[in-house]
Amino acid sequence: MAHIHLPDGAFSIQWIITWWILALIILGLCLYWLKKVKKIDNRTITLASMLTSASFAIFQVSIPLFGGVHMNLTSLIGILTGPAIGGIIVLIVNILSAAIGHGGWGMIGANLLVSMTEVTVSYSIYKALGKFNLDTFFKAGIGTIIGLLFGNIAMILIILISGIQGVSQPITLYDLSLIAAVNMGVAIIEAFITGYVVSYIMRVRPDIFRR
Amino acid sequence: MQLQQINRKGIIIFGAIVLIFVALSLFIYSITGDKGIEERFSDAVGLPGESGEEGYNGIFGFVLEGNHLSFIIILALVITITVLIYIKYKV
Repeated sequence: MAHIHLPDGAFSIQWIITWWILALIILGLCLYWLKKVKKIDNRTITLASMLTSASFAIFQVSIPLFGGVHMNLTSLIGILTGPAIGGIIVLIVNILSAAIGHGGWGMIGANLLVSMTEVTVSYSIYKALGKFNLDTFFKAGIGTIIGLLFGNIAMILIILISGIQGVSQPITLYDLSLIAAVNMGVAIIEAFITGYVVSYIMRVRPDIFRR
Repeated sequence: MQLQQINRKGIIIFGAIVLIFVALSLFIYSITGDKGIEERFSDAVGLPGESGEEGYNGIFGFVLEGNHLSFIIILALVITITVLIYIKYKV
């Protein structure tokens, strides 16, 4: 859900390359994991494809809340498929989004790191809460909120580290935190959606979670 | 009985987190005003705002980002691929 909505040219070329390299290293690890450790089965490919379509479609719609915000279902992706497949899904969604002019090509690397943070943290929190025997809805909801909070933190850190080219105004943590705070309002809606979808799937197709 | 207690614990934790973030978001929204996410970013980092979407309010306020024709073409392609994969592998 957190996404760096800045045009190409906002970050210097060094930082664009740095974020791209970092994102590619993480993606490489995801692919290695899928190839060597956890073999991906055909039915998971179908699920990944469905999530890619849903995430791409919903991400392009600006929702009229808090002046206009976006959702991209990264937490749902993380909880249903895990970080390795989730990383590949968010890469495809980011590339397709840039292809239609929603987000810069140079920002894909940085945005991929933000999305990967959300996918991984949501998945980890959801799994960690398994020990507490909470209802699936609440596990997924809490995982989503915390995952998206960390995504916003990653977004702020990337912008603060990279800096913005050609502006005289200093970039402050306070100004960026205001964006994150508004984003978190939408994270609540995404938490309800994720919680509902995950608990519904758990009820009708629990085998999906056992793969 | 135990299940009810577990669910009550979940409601309390989830409810508390929701209330905290909703209150925070509404407070920040009230002090920063009604702006789109792109405008919020531009203001935060000092870039000039984008004016491409001015005057277009979408459907019930839901606005489609990017190039609409490209969106429809790519979405149709992605859905077609998904249907083909589903027919071949199921879920």
